[in-house]
Amino acid sequence: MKNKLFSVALAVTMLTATGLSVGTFAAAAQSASPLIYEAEGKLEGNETLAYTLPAAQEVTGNALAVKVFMKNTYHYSLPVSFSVTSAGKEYVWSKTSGTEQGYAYSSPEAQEATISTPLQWNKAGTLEIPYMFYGEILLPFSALNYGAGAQIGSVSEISMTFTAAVNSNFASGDTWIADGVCLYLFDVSCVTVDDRGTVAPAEEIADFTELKKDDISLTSETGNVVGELRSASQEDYAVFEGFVTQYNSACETKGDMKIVESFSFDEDAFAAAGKERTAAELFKKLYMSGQESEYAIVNGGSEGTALSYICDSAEYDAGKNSYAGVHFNFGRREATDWSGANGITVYVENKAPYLASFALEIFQYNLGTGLLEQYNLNDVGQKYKTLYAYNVETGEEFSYHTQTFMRVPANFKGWIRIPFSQYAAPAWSMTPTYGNEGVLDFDKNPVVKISITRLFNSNLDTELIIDDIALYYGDFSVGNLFDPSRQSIRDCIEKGTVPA
Amino acid sequence: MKKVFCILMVGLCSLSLAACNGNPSEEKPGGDETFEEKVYDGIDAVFDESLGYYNEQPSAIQEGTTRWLFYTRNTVKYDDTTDSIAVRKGTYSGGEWTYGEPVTCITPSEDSWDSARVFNADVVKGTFAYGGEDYSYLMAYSGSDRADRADADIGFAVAKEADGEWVKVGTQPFIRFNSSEWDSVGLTYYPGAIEPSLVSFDKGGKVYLFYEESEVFKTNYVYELDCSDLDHIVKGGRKVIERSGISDLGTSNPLLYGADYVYDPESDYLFAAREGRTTATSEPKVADEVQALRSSMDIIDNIDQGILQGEARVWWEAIGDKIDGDTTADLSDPDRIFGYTRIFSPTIVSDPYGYLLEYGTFEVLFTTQANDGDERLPADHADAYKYSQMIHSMTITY
Repeated sequence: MKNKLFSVALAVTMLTATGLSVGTFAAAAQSASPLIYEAEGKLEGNETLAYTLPAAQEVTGNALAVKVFMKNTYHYSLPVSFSVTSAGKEYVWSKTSGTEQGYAYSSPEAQEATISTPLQWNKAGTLEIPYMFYGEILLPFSALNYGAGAQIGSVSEISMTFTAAVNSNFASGDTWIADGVCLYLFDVSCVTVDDRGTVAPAEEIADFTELKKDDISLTSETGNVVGELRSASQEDYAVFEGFVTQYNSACETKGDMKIVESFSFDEDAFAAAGKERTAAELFKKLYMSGQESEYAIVNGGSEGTALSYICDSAEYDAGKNSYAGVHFNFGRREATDWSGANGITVYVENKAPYLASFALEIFQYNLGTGLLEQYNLNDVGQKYKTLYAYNVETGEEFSYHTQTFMRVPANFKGWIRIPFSQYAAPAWSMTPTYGNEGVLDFDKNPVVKISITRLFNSNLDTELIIDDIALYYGDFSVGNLFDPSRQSIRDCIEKGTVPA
Repeated sequence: MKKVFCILMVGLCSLSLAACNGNPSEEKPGGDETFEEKVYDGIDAVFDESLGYYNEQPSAIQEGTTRWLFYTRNTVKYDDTTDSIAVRKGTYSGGEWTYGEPVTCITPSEDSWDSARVFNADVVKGTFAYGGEDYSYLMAYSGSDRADRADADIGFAVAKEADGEWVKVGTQPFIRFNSSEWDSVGLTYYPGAIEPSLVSFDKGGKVYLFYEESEVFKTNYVYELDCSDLDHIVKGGRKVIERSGISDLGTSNPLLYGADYVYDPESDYLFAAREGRTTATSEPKVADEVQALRSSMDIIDNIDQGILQGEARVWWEAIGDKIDGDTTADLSDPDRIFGYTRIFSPTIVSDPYGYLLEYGTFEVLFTTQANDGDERLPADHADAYKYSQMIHSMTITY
């Protein structure tokens, strides 16, 4: 059993956009072969991993620390229920509100975790592990058994249950076409957290990097297990390193734009993973809902690679809701910080000689309610929204109206800007079922995902090339022929800057 | 409301003249045609022409005591395939404007984008070079190769004198409306790019071109253009004219229908006259009222960046009284006490550069038309209402 030494000094400095506080703690060096639980398809029911210790181990401290890396989930966060067995009785961590602490590492090799991440309890009483979370989840014993607390003296089994059929948060009730869970498991320790958030020396209970998959039981509530366990290969580990390195690196900027999604990966960060695996990971990072549309990562777009998205008429089921969507979470922490931005912009090509359309729906994670809030170009009374475009081939800049979806004119190739003033919460999301408060506040809340959605019936067989989804920070004008003191969209792209 | 209108009876009939490009033709009322009076339900027209000739979509610029009134007119009686843009010279004397004979400026081309119809012109003064010549007047007009004026485009023409020879600029429209560019639902009828309205930016070659584009969405736009060298027009941005503050029953997205714009540099207001939304259920399905509005000129460049803080800015403010049936009634004549039921295509009389003449008041010229089936129309012309349009004047004070 390895001893782990780490202490946390929660600093008061707040990262205002993400709601994260800064602290530090030192951790032992990372192990090379964590266990991986992965479910590429759709879970038929909740699935549970259970590890029975060789012998019951005495509990020290006041909390359990579970070290994981959440590589992929088709929801922004994966609800996981944790429990321990003590003296033959199961104790469950469960609360329906509030947060627990999670301490994230800034790199795979980091000896100190510097970010404290509030992990949200959802309404079902399970803890949500955010996409790309790599660090220690602190589970206070006082929160065991629905917050009643439990004075457990030992632990004989540790289990975690992964929630199936996570709702996509769309009014249609769609769930993701696949659940796409992939969680790296490192270890579990007992720790002591004091009132100031300082974490005292810990005792390790389970080291998953030393275990084989057969050491863990994997069951499903339906009896049909979809997920699989495996020990991380070198390639898996390289992928983990790539994701963590990329997640903690700064977003690329271009002019006044901070690119939050470029449909490419940081080649240096993923160098060890190999091109084929990296390409596969990039593809799998995107996930779908609604009707079966098709997407691919292709060469082209603004530069490098881009997203190709098609509503193939051969797949269209006219008897169903016409909606289809491809979604992604942000691969860089900095991409979730939208404070100070004026709007969102995207590079898009419509190769068709007629109109195509899609929506860029944004999801704010309301740290006050713990709910993911959806915003788009819907509005009361179907009011028109105004978009701003710069065609890179003709040099023309223009604004135009749209409604619900972004219209992309025939043969358009260039950038479209949408000020946040055009976004609103759809009416259905403001109902108690969804709990959207309807207030965008990027100083308080992070934005964690984007949905690219289309309607099949008005987009049959039209391919859109989408690239470089970015935040823009400049005050632009649509052209500046009569007032050169203003910045045109092109000026902003070529000469603008992103505020430090 | 004070009504200011003046009429010059210029004759009983107009000769039908084949319009020509480059050969201004003076129409000669009278001749062999029989003058047929149009249908009056209210105030007089600013000039009279026989039923059988439509006089619609006015645009007027004024220099001192001279006014140039451009409008759409058919050159052959009861023949709507003979569109033209005509101009009449107005002279102010004795407190009244007197209009001269119509002069044809442009007609449809033989085989081009405007081969079937030309209509809805607006003119601004400035300095414009084209084909090695210098010109003083720029006209923007709608044209179509369809008889129903649908899928219209907008092109330019230039002249050295307002009633001189007008030369079309190039063989292609400046704004080419392509319905499929904005359509994925298979509709086949769109008005297209219509209602051009020009305002000079610098009294030289730079102009604002306002217009309305009717595709799936109907939108008012303004283009910033440098037309100093019309062989090489420099395009600035094309900008949506936001419409907050305008209301039309039954729609969340009202439009500046058929709008004409003038600018007042002193107050920095953009003034507009627009049609109310069409509510007519029988022909002609045109508006029944005209409204005057103003907005800060900031409307052109303002973009609500960032998260909307509170309510969005309301741009347009109605000014003066509407021009409608009541206000167009002529209470001094028992036959004209109800006013007109079709009132549309307004224009604000401006200076030659599209600027407001006098703050606090402006003159609006607008079109009226008889209803299909009106018993006063001649029975031997089934579609006589199509040739009944007249241009009237009223003054808006605010």
